[in-house]
Amino acid sequence: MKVVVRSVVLIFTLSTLVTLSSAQESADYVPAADQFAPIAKARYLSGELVYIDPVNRRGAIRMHDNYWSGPAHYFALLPYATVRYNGAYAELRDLPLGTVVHGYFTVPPKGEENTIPPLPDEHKKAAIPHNHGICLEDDFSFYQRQGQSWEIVSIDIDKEKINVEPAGEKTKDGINTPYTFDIDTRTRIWKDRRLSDLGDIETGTTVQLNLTWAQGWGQKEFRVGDIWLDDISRKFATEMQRRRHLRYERQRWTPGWIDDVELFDFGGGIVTLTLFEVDRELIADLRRDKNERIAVAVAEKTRRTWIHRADRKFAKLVEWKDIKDSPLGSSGVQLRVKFTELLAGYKRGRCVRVKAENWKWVSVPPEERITSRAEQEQSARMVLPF
Amino acid sequence: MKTTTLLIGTLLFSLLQTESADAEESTGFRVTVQPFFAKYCTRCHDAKKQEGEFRLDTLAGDFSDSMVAQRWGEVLFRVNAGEMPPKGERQPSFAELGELADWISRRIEERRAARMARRGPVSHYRLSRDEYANVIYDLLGVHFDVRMPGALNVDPRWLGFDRIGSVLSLSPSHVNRYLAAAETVLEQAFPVKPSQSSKQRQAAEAPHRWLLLPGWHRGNINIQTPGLYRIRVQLSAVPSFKGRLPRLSVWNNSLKRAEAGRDVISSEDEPTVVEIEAFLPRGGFRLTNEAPGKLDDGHTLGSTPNLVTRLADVHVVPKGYKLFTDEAVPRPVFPMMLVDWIEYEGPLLSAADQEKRSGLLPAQTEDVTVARDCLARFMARAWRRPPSTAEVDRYLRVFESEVAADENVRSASLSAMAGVMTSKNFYYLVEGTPSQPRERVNDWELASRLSFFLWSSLPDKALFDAARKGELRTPRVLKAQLARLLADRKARRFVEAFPRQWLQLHRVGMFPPDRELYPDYDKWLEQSMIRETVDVFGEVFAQNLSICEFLSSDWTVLNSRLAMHYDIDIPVQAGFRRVQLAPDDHRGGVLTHASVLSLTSDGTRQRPVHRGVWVSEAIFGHTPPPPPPNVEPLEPTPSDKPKATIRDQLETHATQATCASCHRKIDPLGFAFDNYDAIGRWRTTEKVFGGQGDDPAVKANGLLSDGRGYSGPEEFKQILVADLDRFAEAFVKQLATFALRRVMTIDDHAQIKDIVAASKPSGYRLRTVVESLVLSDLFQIR
Repeated sequence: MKVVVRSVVLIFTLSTLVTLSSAQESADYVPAADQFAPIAKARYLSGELVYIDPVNRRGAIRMHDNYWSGPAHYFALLPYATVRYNGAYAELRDLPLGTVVHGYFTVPPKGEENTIPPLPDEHKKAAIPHNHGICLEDDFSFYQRQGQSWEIVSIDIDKEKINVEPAGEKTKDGINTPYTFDIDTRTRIWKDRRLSDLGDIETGTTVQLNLTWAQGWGQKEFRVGDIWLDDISRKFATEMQRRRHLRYERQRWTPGWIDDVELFDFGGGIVTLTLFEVDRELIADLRRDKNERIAVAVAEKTRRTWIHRADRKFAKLVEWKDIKDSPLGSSGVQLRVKFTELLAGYKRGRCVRVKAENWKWVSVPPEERITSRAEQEQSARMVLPF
Repeated sequence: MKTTTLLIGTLLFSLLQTESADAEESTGFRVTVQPFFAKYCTRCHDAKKQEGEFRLDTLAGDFSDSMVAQRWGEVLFRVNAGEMPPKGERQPSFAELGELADWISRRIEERRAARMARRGPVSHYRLSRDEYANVIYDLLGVHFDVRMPGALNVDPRWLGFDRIGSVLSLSPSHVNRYLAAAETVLEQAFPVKPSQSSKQRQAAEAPHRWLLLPGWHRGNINIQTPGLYRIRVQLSAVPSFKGRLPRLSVWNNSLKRAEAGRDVISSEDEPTVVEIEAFLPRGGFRLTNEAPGKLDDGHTLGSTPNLVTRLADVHVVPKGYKLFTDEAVPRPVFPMMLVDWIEYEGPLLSAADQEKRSGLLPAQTEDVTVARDCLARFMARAWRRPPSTAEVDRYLRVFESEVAADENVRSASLSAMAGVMTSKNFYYLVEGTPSQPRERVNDWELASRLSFFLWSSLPDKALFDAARKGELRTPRVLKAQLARLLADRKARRFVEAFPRQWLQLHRVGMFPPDRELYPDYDKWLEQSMIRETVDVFGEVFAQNLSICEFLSSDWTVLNSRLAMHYDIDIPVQAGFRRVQLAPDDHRGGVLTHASVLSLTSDGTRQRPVHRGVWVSEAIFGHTPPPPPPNVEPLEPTPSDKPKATIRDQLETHATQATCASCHRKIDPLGFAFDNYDAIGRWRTTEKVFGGQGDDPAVKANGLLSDGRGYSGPEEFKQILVADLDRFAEAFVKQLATFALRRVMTIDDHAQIKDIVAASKPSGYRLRTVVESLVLSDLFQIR
């Protein structure tokens, strides 16, 4: 049986899981530091999330095609990069280690080539230059977003195997062919708003899965970590993550970056900023009719702020502009806000975090704050865990 | 008709009662006035309508009463100015007008003597607090800060004048403060131990320099002995990217105000040394950059560097203030100062100031004769006249009783001198003699009139000497003294004080402009606005130009700050200078000074009516009647209506019968300046909040009550220039009000006319006008 499974696996071409042709032709695309990189110019990569630096939005993926011996692929998320988990926006910290993730990556923007340090000499050949992510998702989010789900063809509880085939719109990247995954009692089976068990899995059911690496450590073998059997369970999972996201952003403030600064005479000015992609509820919080003023804190490319509740200035919203066909990473909302005092960090291309008036004032944990120029410089470069 | 007849009858009865002895007058009234009023006036000015709150039916006929004469003078003015009867009403013939004017003029003149006789034998004019400070300095060489909290009370004003005797009352609080002030001043003038001047220096540790952004302070100037200090600072002063200059000021820590300051510009590589001399009270002071753009968020300040070596090397963390533009070659966002060192030296006591104190304090002896001489000398100077023996004796007794109580000579003398300084003879200018009513001031009083007019202070020795010799009232001597006073640097006080009071510049900033609407407005702009007007007056005075320059001119006096406000391109440099204007600048003449345009606004928008009233008062010398009570304010434009200018709203308002008569006269004087917003910036459209559509275009045209029209501020100014005699009369009236410390009345009218006539051949050159006033009868009449 094992041979059969292996042969099935081999039938499917998984080259797309390693490198995707869509990005190949533009492998040398270098994103501008102050522009959203188009996803069409990015390279698709997928693997198991094995390391994260959630404070600086960096991590590492163990790639599927060199799982046994290759180095992890270390990456940094671009400031506007979106992370999704269970169908909702998320932070890197929300993704459990071991989750199979899908991402689109570019080479570093100019001037940020040193953000990810070079790998040791013995791994240099295997290093992938596309180490700046513009999005990262779990299977649930990745497939559901593109309209693909899985239909259960069969399940063999004794053998701990489940056969599925794609349903709905097939994705261009990722697995888009029938597949056999491992499944066992560790798999979390979600039905309605509760945990269920293997017995509830019925053939013909359309499900979403989150994969993790298989116990056998076979190349491109996966185990089902979570399976959502019905729509209620999927919506519930999405809603729980959405709440987590809302909470997080309201505490850290919603991110964006500065498109332009018009300086006034006395240190004030009008700043034009584009908000990054977050849940629309957060964007709606910033509407003018809800806010006498908003607070804008300076942030690093990692989205880390200094002491945001203090290192901020208040501004009045003077213009709200909805941008059609906005690129991935952009919320499609551009604001013009007027300050009486400007901070040095209000510069074109620099990140900020924006607070709506009715969000509670909280302090971020000390380890998340930037408190000095040394820390600022240190945070600009990833520290590899070896 | 019956009512009219009854009213005229009442008026006639009243006149007959009050002037029953004067048959000619009642005949004239019956023949001339009564028919005129009945035919042209009482339809509106009777008990029923009381148009403009002016009734003719109850106008009393006792011309010896000043108030009554003033009302008749008002009738005469309105009729002569063609304002009454108003357009659209039945108009009298020239002959009828002439007869009425002639009758009123004669009656006013005939009863002038009677009115003058009713004046009290003695007039008291209290010193304003600025005059008090000047007197103290000129008397003892001590600078006493009258504006220090708790020092002296703020003086009430009458139309901008703070020296009008009838307005300056005296309360117990005044007396207490005069006593405290006298003690402070005398202790400073005659200290137990004379203070020694010393020099202190503080420097940044090279190669660092202290960075002073707007509102930042540096240095620690600790003043123990009040007095004159010289402060020297080596610094570089770099303008902002907009060309705004740093302003170096000496900041009073406790009073939170700048005591002295100036604009500075010097490159980073070539620092300059600035020297400031200022009278400083006891306390702590620091240097500050008083340029606008105050940065006061302590948390952000903590992240912003305050020591630099070179601006190009400054690194500001993102959470610090944005100090530089994001250009390839960054420029300062703010005017910046880089200070190397400061030095302060003082208290400085000039020989001249030291000399003022000599001979006033007896040496350590209890010789009463010496003490008496000292006291008499002091009293003569302080009271601006020789004291009588009895008066000296009174204060000598204070000295003697103090000595008897074991006080030393210094202390006893200071007690007596404090008594002199808290006497009414010190803080009042007294004119007249109780026992001997007289029409003219005597030589001593004339000397004080002259010196307080031009120096805002007491006469000097030469003027005293002229008075002592009894020569001052001779035109030759008076003229020579006038020339001497005008040439003295103390005449600067006149140049500073008169335009501020005449043009009511104290109102500038009274309603601070809305920060949202006018973020460009700041304290230094406000001061610069006032400075322009005062310096234009100073230039006209210094060059002895015609007062016509106040109405229209092709030059003004600007600093960089104000030039930026006016959008006039001048080289960025420190200080004020005369600037030639082009027609496109839309400036020239005080009426288009930002000071005047903002003082007649309310901080949010321009007020055409206020501007009209101001023109009427300052330029025409005529105060319109106050508005009736409970006038509905102008409402903001409703959001569903087209945007409307304030003028549009006013014109709607002025169609109401109760408002129309006054607005018809006042509003056109203000509409001429609708091209200037609430802080005096030129515009062609009026910013309107609320309402639909675009902001409406400004309409700065108008029709004066005498029928002359204009289509913009320039044409309006030319109307005023064409009527220069009228302005000259108003100007002389203002000048005389300032000089004589009283409101001009109908009784002064003829003499004012004489002064105008005497000034006219020179083309109304300012110094000639001043001279004509000083040499006039008016200047010497009590």
